[in-house]
Amino acid sequence: MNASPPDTDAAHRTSPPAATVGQAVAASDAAVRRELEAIGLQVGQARELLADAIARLGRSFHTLEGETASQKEMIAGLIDSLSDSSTPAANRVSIRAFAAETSAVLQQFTDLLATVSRQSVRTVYRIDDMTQELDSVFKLVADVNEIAEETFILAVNATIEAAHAGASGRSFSVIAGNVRELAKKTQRFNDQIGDQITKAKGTVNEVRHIIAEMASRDLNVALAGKERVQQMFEQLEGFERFLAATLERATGAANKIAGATAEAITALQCEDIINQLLGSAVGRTGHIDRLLASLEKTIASRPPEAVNPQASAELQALADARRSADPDPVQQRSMSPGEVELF
Amino acid sequence: MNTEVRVDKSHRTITIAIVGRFDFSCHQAFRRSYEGAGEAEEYVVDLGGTDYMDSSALGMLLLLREHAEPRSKVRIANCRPAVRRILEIANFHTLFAVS
Repeated sequence: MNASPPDTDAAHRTSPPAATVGQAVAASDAAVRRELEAIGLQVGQARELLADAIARLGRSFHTLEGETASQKEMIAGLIDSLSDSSTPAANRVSIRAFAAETSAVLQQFTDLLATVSRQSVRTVYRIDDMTQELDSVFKLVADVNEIAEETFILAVNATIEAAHAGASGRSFSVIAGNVRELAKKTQRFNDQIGDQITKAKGTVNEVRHIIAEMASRDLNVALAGKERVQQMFEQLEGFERFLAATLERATGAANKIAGATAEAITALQCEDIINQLLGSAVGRTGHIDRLLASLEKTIASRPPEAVNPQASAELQALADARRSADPDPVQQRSMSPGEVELF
Repeated sequence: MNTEVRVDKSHRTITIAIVGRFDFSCHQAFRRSYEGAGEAEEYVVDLGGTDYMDSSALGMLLLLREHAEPRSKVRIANCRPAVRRILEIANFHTLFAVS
């Protein structure tokens, strides 16, 4: 309860209660007028606050509308970039396409392993054939050695026969000696050929080992890799589905917010009607004022009449009580956050 | 390394069974089983006893297929799960009838 300012009504408070009906009516009218004034003030305040609040609400909802619209745009953009059917391809984030490409690359790699192995094994087959051919050469060399051996023996026999022939066999003996030499040389060359072939076989065997290693790749690493990649893709696809579903729900929510905001903006149109109602109510207080004035005049035109003292005292008490009440209990003039008080 | 290569030639079908590891050590026996055997209508590679395959086995199978086609077909039979997985990642199910 606020303290009332020092008022000039103090004189009225101490005056005696009304004695005549005319005086009582006048006092009563004065009290009613004070109430009507207070009503007018408070309605005026209410209209101010209403206007301010509705203006703020209107701005808020329009902001909400704008933000919801741009939110929907962003979500639509995300959905587009996820879907396969959208263009342009440059912006597309298609996990499915990425998965297919990587799968293809993995497949190419595995195919390469198989191809390299095929070529390696084929090469080893050729090396095996080559080894057989080298062995054939060995056999030929052995045959040639046999011939050289027999040639040598023949030459030795020839030398012996030439010795039996005496002087006429001397030139023949020389020739036989040359043939022995040739046979020996042949055998030495054959030995060298044999050595070279043995070396060649050794080299060929080394090559076979190298290729064998190249051809023998354990495939379990590739297998595990492919299975792991498959798992990852399934996870990624699951995530993509989840994302798409969530974006749909987000779109749904955004739509609902937009709808509710539009409804709220429409509801704010109540301001006009409320203003009209308040204006009309204030108008009625003016009318009441005029009715009271007319009533006073009517009573004043009659000869003075005494009034019931008890009734008069009650009226006085009522008027006094209302006079000391604060005509302006709510100080607020606007709904700005700084001004909101709890009262 | 207990690898065996068993060959069975009957009714114009040549069956090559690999028992143990199907790897490089088999290459000579594998080749001998079909080269110089004349034409067969069908080649069956029985992997029922095969517990391991490396990439050289893939190479050998591809060369067998080269030898057989286009006149005859090559079938790979009785694959164990691990072996079957390897044939699948190598896409061999598109080149051979795999069972």
